[in-house]
Amino acid sequence: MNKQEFMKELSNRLSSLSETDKEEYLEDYSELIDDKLETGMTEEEIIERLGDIDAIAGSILSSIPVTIDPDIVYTENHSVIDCVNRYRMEDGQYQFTLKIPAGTGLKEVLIEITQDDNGTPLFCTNLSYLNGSEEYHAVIRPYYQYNGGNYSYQGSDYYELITEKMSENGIGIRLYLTVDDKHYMATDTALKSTVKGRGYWLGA
Amino acid sequence: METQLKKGLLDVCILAAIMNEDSYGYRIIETIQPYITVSESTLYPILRRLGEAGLLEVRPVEYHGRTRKYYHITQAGIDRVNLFLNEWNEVMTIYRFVNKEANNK
Repeated sequence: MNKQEFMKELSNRLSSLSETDKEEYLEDYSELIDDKLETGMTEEEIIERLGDIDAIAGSILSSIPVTIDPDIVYTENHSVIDCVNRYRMEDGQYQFTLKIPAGTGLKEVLIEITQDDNGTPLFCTNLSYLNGSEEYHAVIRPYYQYNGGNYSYQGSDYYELITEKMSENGIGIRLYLTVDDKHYMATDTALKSTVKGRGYWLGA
Repeated sequence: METQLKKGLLDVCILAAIMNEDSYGYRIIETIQPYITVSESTLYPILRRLGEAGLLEVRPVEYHGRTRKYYHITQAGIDRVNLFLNEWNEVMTIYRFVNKEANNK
């Protein structure tokens, strides 16, 4: 990939940013590539060493705070979006398995991490931003289910979210999804929560 | 290195890299690379965050017919580095204690 192609690809991936933010990051990368060119490397070498472009975009996107729009009404629905598995790992991190519908119409999945079991938000991010990024509070990857000695890929609609050690007390998540212009939210039905509910809570 | 610890250290490494002289993205990476691993995609969001926090300022400079963004440390940025150095004295005291106990085991 040459510089022009790289800049175009990066621009496409940053399209959800404001024009100002996007331009600033594109300027940074243009400057970086120009500076590296002066050390005698070729455009292709430089871009190869920059690494995976999805990871680059993910790192940038996840550094920008995401907020839940208070004007949108999210309807609680566990058939379209669900937290199917959750546990605390030995090292104190928390793991969640999310089931999210694959396919067309899916516009946005927001994950809000809560810091207590009253659902007080800690941070919020877009699911697509988490892939491969470094400036984040959690990693997400395709979920493989362990079954009879084998790990089987559960399909593109399953994701595994692993949080950093962030809370002494525990950690919660709430899921927001927009599909076909409808807004859904999943929280913990076991606790008879409402849409503004506690979220999936895991104690320490 | 533990992630939370590394995040805090990255901030002060970047500030230290511009403490004596304004610097730009590529050179900041080159300066701190021997001490701490940082990728470009991590650096730029941190520079942005440090700028929003008032710890540094961006100064565009014309260079070879293009614009380079130089980063200039503010007084608040200098204070942040000094705070780190003071805190680190305490951490070193704890380190020496842990190290002593571990070696006597």
